[in-house]
Amino acid sequence: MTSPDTATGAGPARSQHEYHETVDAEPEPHDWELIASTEDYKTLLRERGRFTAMLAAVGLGWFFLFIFLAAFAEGFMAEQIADGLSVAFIFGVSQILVLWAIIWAYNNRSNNRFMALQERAARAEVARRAEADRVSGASASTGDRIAGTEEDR
Amino acid sequence: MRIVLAQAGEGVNELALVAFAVVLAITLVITFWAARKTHTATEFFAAGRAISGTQNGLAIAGDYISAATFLGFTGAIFLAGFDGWIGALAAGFAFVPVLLIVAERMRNAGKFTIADVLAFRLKARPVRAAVALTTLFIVGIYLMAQMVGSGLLIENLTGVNFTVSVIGTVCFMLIYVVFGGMLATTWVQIIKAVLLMSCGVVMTFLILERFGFNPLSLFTSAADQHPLGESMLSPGGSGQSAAGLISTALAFVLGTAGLPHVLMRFFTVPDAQAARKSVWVAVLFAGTFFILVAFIGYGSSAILGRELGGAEAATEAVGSGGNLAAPLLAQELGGGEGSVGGDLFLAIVSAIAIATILAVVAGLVIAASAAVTHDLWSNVIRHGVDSEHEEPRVARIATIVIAAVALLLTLVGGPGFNIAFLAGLAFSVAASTNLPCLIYAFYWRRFNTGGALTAIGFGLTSAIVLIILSPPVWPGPASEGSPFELTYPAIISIPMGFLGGWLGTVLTKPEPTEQAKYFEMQVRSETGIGAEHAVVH
Repeated sequence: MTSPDTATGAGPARSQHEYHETVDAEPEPHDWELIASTEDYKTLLRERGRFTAMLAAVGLGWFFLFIFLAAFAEGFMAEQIADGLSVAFIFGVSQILVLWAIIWAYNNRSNNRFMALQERAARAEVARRAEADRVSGASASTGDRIAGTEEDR
Repeated sequence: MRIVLAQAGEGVNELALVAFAVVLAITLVITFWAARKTHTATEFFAAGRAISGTQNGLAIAGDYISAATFLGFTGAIFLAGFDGWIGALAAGFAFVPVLLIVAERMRNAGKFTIADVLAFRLKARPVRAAVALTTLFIVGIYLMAQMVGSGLLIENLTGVNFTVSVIGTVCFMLIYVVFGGMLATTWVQIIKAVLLMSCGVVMTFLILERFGFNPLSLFTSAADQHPLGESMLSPGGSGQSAAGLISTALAFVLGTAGLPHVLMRFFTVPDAQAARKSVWVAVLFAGTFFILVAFIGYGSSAILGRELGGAEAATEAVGSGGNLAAPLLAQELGGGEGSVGGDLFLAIVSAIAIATILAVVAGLVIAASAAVTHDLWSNVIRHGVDSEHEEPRVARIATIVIAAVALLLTLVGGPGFNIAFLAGLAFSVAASTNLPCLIYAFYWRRFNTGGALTAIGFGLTSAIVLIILSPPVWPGPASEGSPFELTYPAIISIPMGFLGGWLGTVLTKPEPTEQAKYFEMQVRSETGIGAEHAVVH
């Protein structure tokens, strides 16, 4: 369906972005700048950014330590802790364990903290818009809404 | 070199064919069920976004523990020891960039393809065209690798001729995709993943049983049987240089996060939370499997060396790349060649390995079809008239055409194609083109269309040129000096891709609309607000 570009609110030259005519079928255009300005959103970006960077550093660090030692310290990796059990093997198994820990930690933090921030940022927009509607009295932002968006988008 | 494992005196291993037929029948039933639910574009490409996190996780795990990993890593460990396992660890680690950078943001910001995500804030037509072409390139190479592998495997395990095998593979795969779309493809992957994992568990159990359930005893025995002796228990066995090892690791770790057919799976779940969960399930499953692969790989060295009369005979038997190590091992574990258990186990493992290839090939073709249909046809050619009902029809035609072209190329190239090189090229290109674009698009406000095109240009060109100059491809024996020393160009081509993205951006003017779109894209991808919804029936 081709709808007038009510969705973006971001400006002209929308012919370059045909994608939006296909994706933005929500009845209500979103005020992206508004959402981006909420405290919850900024907190989300900051906290998740730091957490992701930390996990990435730990994970990549541990993994590439393994790779570098495998490449440059074959002797060390070849040492056997017990008959048949090399340092390399234990190191390798630890990679899988660290991998599991990282994935689990990210999901855990996302489900317990980041999702809440996302929802609050979304609700802040709804609240502010309701407030704006109430204040302005007119329903200009809702009047031109195209009705009947297809179910199966 | 080809070793035909067919029953003595017969050209064709009937037991394997029967096992294979059973697996195929199951997959056809799934396809029939899925076909009833596949009518719109969202259903065809994204299974209606109704796949649960757990199901998607299993399907993604299925992509990871494919024939390439099961057969390939087992064979690599058999031949080179620990070095063969490093590739598995790198592939496993790839889940980290996938989860931390790509999975949720794709689901939040895209519809069916990578180009959807990029076209959000960049000029749609050039970017879609460029990304669709790299997608076709990556998927195409990977597809050919899988098809050659399939032909060889079927030929070696069942005795059916290479050409017939490849054609058969393509026909069955087409049935899944054309009729059942992403839904059928996903469920075939899930079932195959479970079967393959069961296989791995049983094999590991049987291997450990032979060594009194003492892994260390297994390892020492493996070392005893191996020409390298104890040093096959640690890195260095493959003779790869340090730079080569790093390059390989980079290719696997970063390449997976840019593989179109893997990323596409994130569009099949209802929301970002399910996308996260699918990564968790996938990594649990695949990680476990990679640990099992270590035991299976070492087991193949220990057991095949002993049973087949020494390391030399065993090395000859497993074929180039060691691809037959796992099936041969299964045969031994079942009771040895000629025994009922041995033949049966061999047949089962063979059938699952072949089904594995089918599942991956189906996923690849759907990804290619999405690029052609959704990116090139609907958006570049038809200017964005996006019909939920037109796209499936075009997609089906595109699927058949793509499969036909790949089939032709494979038959022309023949069994001589170097599969490992093809797969490596696919990973390297994915890491050098798609990944820089996605990262810049998500994180860098200044990034623009010029940057995306340059990133793709630099990454693609450097990867291709270096691969041509690399030992496996450059004419002459690999030991002779080829201009470029490494097998995988990743260590150079990935930085080139990022460099291109940066250069292209700073050398071209920023577009005001692209800058403004950044906010929208960022909010969408970070929060999921406005994301594509699941289909409601």
